[in-house]
Amino acid sequence: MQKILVVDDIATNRKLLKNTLKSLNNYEVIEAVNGLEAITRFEEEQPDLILMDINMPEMDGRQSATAIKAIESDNYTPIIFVTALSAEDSLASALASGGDDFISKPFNIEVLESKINAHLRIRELTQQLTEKNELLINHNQHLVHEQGLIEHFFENALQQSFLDDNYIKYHMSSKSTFNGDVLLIKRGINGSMYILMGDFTGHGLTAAMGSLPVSMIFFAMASKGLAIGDIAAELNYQLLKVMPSGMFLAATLFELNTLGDTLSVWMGGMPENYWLNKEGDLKDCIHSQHMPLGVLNEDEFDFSIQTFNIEKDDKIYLYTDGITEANNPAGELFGDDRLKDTLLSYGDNRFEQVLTTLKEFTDTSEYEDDVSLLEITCNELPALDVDEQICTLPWHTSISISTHEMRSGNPVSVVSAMLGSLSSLARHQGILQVLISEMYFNALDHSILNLSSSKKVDDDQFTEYYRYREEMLQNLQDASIVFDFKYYVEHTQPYLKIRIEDSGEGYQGNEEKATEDLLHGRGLTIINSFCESVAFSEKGRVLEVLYLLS
Amino acid sequence: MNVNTEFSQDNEIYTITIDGSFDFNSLSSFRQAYSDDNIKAAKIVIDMRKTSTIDSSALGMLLNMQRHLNKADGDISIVNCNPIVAKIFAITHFGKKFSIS
Repeated sequence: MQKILVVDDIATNRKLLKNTLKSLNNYEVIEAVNGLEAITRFEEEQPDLILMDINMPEMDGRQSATAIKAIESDNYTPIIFVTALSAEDSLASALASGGDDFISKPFNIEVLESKINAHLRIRELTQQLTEKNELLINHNQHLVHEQGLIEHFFENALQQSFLDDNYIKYHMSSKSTFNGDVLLIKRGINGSMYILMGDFTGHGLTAAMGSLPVSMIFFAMASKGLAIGDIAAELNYQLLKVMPSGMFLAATLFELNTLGDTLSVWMGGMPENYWLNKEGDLKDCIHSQHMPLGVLNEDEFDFSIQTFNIEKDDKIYLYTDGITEANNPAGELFGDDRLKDTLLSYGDNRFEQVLTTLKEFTDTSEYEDDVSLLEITCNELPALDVDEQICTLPWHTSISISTHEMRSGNPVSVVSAMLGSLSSLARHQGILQVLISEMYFNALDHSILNLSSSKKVDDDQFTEYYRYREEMLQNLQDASIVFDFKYYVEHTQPYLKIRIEDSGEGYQGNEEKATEDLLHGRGLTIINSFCESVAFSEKGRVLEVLYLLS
Repeated sequence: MNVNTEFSQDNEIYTITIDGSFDFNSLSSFRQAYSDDNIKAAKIVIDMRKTSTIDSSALGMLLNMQRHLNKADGDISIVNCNPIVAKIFAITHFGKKFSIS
């Protein structure tokens, strides 16, 4: 039921209006005797419409209307003056004070009814509009909030990149808050620097969505030091699974080794890279050899890579097509030639110069597409920060290998896996496996089986040697090989001492030195090169080596 | 231990991939990989991307293969070596016999 406030100082007038209103539409009618009371009643009762006399004691209708309109919230509350005044000036000043309409006394009931209906309808529409506005404002706040969360999410996902000024200069600008270009850089456990520069089809949030799985896969696989061909294959497979068809990622994957002299490249759907030498001359352009990621099925995917030998201070420039496809106001393209010319005509500041030239060319602060440029300076990479704590607790363990294990199993890989499971040795498992393997086969083949590896001379003898060895092994009785591992820290450096003792006749590696052509005799060379010290004792039945776990 | 082989589409390149550690236990499967007469004319590539370590018996097997196939020094390529594998090839001067990258 709608509520109407009737304001008049004369009780009969109020009664007349009240009765009329009741007869019209059974309105709830509340009353006030002057302008001041009207304000109080308005605040208390929130009426839908006010019928107001103009001349009243205490506060007249005009002042009251002004006050009510001032405290009125978003809702429109129509005020209709009921007046005997006919002078146009007075009416005009009444409306100017905040009234919305007027009706002359004595009033015609039909006119009153239609005016009330018209104003109530306006109030209703205003209310609906206010509600819709509130809804929109809420929606917008919600969107802004969500966008903030997503931005935060993206920043975190992409933040792991290795960015060292000595090696990397980069520029990325996006057409919208979210970027369809991706740049990820990570050092692998093998010391290599892995780089991924990619360009998703499209712009904005849809394009950026794909960068989440890409960054997670890339960071995880690169930090393990996996091959870029395999990383590319995994990215392709995952993108194919999660992205709608028609959306894909053009990408360049680089692996620069620790020495900074070899670059492996997998490139699909990206514009060519420019490779400049120290003097700034163009050495080569590296071209894409594959389709973008997220296009081919798993069995069609080609993860072959290109490998380049790099010299110190060579520079490689990667970019996305936002640069070459930028337009100037005349609709002309920036183009490959302009980019290449700029790169080749400037010295050390050519990176900055490309961006300046592009800006001058497009003559706008807004690029049409996401624009990314990367400069890699090839050089020996800094040693990895090893954040592992050195374990200061010394330990000592021993493993006996009996004839049975020598015959049937592969004790080297078991022992190596055991050592690798210790956190202080995990990083060294590869080299430790090599050492254990060389020591074990030295002891078994030469000391216990007493084979001479100089018999491995040509292919037939090579086969014969292993056939003979197998036979000897099967007939072997009561032999043993014992490994002792001793871990300790000296002068803050952790060491692993490996001692091997066998039950054979002893062997000291006293054969002729290995030459290039010999099929044998490299085991001790390998052991020597990885260890701090190597010593035979007990006529060669014991070999003790010291390995620095640096 | 797992040795896989593959011919390129034009049959000109024969790739041998070794998974895991390349050592004494790979002997028979590795020999198997180059025993086919069809490969004598092909360019041979040994892909070490999945190879974690090698030992001296594997070095012997590589030399033996080179001799068996009558390949000149540098004809057989060894690619995608991890740093440990690369170091072992460097220590033993295998670069003189194989082209290693």
